[in-house]
Amino acid sequence: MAATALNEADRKRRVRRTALLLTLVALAFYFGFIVFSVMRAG
Amino acid sequence: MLKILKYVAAAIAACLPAGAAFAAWELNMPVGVTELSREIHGLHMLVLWVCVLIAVVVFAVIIYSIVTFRHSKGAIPATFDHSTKVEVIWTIIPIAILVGMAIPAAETLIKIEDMRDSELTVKVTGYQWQWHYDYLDEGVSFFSRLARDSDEARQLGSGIDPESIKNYLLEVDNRLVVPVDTKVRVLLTSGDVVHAWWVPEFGMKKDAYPGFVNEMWFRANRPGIYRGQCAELCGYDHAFMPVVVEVKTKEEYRAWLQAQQANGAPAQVAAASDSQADNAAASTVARAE
Amino acid sequence: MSTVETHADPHHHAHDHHGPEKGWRRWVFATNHKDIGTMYLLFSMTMFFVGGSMAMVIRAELFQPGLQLVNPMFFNSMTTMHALIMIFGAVMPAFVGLANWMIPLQIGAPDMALPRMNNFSFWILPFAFTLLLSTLFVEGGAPAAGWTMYPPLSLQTGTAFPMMIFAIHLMGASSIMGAINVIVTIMNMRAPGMTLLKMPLFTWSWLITAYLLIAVMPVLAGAVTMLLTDHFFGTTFFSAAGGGDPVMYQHIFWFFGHPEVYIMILPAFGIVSEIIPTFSRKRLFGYDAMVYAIASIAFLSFIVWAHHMFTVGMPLAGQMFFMLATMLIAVPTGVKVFNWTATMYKGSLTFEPPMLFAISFLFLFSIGGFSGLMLAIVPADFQYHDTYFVVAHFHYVLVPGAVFAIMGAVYFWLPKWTGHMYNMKLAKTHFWLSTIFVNVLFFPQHFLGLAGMPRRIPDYNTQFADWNMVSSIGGFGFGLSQLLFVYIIWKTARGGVKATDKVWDDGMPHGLEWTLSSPPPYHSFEVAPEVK
Repeated sequence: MAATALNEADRKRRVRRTALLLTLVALAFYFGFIVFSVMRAG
Repeated sequence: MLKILKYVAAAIAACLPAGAAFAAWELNMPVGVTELSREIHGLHMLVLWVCVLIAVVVFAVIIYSIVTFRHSKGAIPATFDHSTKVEVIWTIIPIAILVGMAIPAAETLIKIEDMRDSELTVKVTGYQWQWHYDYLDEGVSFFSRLARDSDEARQLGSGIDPESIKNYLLEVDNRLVVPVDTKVRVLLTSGDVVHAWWVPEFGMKKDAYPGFVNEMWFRANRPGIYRGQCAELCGYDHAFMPVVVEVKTKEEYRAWLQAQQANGAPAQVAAASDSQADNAAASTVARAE
Repeated sequence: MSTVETHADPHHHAHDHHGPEKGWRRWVFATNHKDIGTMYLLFSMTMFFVGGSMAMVIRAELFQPGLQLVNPMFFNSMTTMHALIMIFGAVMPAFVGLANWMIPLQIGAPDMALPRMNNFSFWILPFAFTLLLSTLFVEGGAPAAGWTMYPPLSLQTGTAFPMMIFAIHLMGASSIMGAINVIVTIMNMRAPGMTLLKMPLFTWSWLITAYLLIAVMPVLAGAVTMLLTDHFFGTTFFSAAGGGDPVMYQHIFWFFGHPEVYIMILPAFGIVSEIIPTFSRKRLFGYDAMVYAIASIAFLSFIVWAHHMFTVGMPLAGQMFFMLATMLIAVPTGVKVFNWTATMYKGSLTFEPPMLFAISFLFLFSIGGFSGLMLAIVPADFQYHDTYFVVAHFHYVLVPGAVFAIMGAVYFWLPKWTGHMYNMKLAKTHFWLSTIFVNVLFFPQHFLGLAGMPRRIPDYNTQFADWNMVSSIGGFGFGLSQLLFVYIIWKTARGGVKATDKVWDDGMPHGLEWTLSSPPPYHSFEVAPEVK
């Protein structure tokens, strides 16, 4: 029982970590392209 | 099946003699009147035929499978689910075919990009919704906009039958006039939004950007009148800014040029009344003389 | 230690063992992947008809030369809105709906990993599209600069401009959340034993698609944000007058735009890879090659964007590179077509509606692929670019490509979702009408483009009249045929012959979704199945 609860918590942590990482990737693409354009135009 | 038949029909049509370029039910790209347009047409036909060939083979296998391996005919499914040998073969063969197409394409592309040794330079500026032509070394420049009869007919609910207008939407008040067998360099720019200058018979189109200059070239081998359109969405009247180029013999071109230089600005008026009269190519020259 | 026990934890799941909530709360507060999937699919269907009615306006105006029905501005609005609605409102949400329904069932998960975000990402969409559609009634009219929104033209848009951009930001946010959910679910929620290379191809194609979405939707958002600041805050990203460059917008847009094209076709590949083996009663030929082919198409999609803009005046080396990279895509795409063919070869085929749509996809998508190869040849592209040849090309890959795959998927899984079989005869009629009319509609557009008809024009020279009339007739026929599709779905949802768990012939379909009842229980796989 204890092992199962641990598993569930572990899975939740992994889910949250993956989601956060992917959000950061998306934000990086968004701001990355804007910054790139600012440098090109400037 | 239907699609194959259509492909074949298109291919057969492509083999028919050129010249019917303005007939209805047109199926294929014009061969055109420049060396580039002919090469481009050749490439187009080459790739089309390669595609037709591949399609015939692949579609034949699919159709054969559909006809033969039917559950209703008691077909027992085989159990194989991969074959490294076959998979390698059908990866390599397409690569070889692609290389075979890429080489002639690259050769033509290099020719297209070779802007050297031009004999005449025309600066073309796109505006919403007309073209401006400027013969840089000859001091001649004028605007070119949709012919008045087309303009009247194209109004929403005008009641005028487009069939009754000669060269509906493909006629202008002042045509760009260039000499035959001359390498003409076209410098493209824009006064407002993006436009694209295109004459199918010359094989080329290129975009015109505000604040930047693009270049392309053509050398027409046959005198005549060649028609195209703006090919980049440029707003309300995008469909109504045709490109019309008149290729004249060198003597006729010189006469036209002298008349333009003598008249200065009134060139527009002369040509405008001209196009209303009968659109005939020779009359501009006649009037100038 | 076995993970099979994971979901048996009574404390965690005690509260959701009852069925769905009653009334509107079930849908507004939906967190169940099946409910959200259904909403996505219904939304997509609605948008398919909204965007379709705009296409009818376009085809009606183009029925004959001269302007009869609408002014050029409204025509341009129709082409622009038709594209935005069909891409972001119809095709993408349809695939997300299918993902929501099928991914948890295919990997043996109880639900999507982030159910509340799932709810949010769906409910953004109705607002985004209400906003976008409301631009039809504002001063200056709806956006009319094409779905590509090239500046400086798009900057001439009136009141609709900020509304369009906000709507696109919302759609982008929705897609990104949907994509995050898909990846997180697939990476963390697979049943024990379900290794990556055991996943069904639909799930595989969605995993790769989701990565594409996360990489490129932000790029589109960035591009339109810069348009917004150029318009309202005096920046000059895309204006030469201030040191910017309108071509740079096109580079950024197509860096999004080309992977976007594959976002709309990779899940279709996945669907076809599910349907063809089922009705051929034979395992998919070259499973590994199929996965690698999808992955390499996805990779190549990031280095071919400039083939949409050969006429902008790129350096020769650039044109060469983008031509060769684009041609290279034909290789993995060819592998896929060959593998589907080899799957059918020596199979035992039956021709139920899903299979009919898959076979039609195989033929017609190939034709779209061939014209794509032709378009990659730069010198020839100088002729094809921005003509109806391009219109024919991308409609062949999007309509009998993506849309037919979606219809095939609906006919494949509808009995599983509803528990009822649909009327086979009607579905086959729908198939034949669609296939015939789609060719009447789009094939002549190849001829129009080659003969020199530019795209996005409301009126044309009389030489283009005949094929335009044929194409319009095909368009009206195709549009009307789709009413049959709605009727079939509506009838099936309400009742019909009971579908078995396997739905199709015993032993035909493989995959976890067929181990469940039809319809599946509201909460499925609460105890994870063991995959061998």
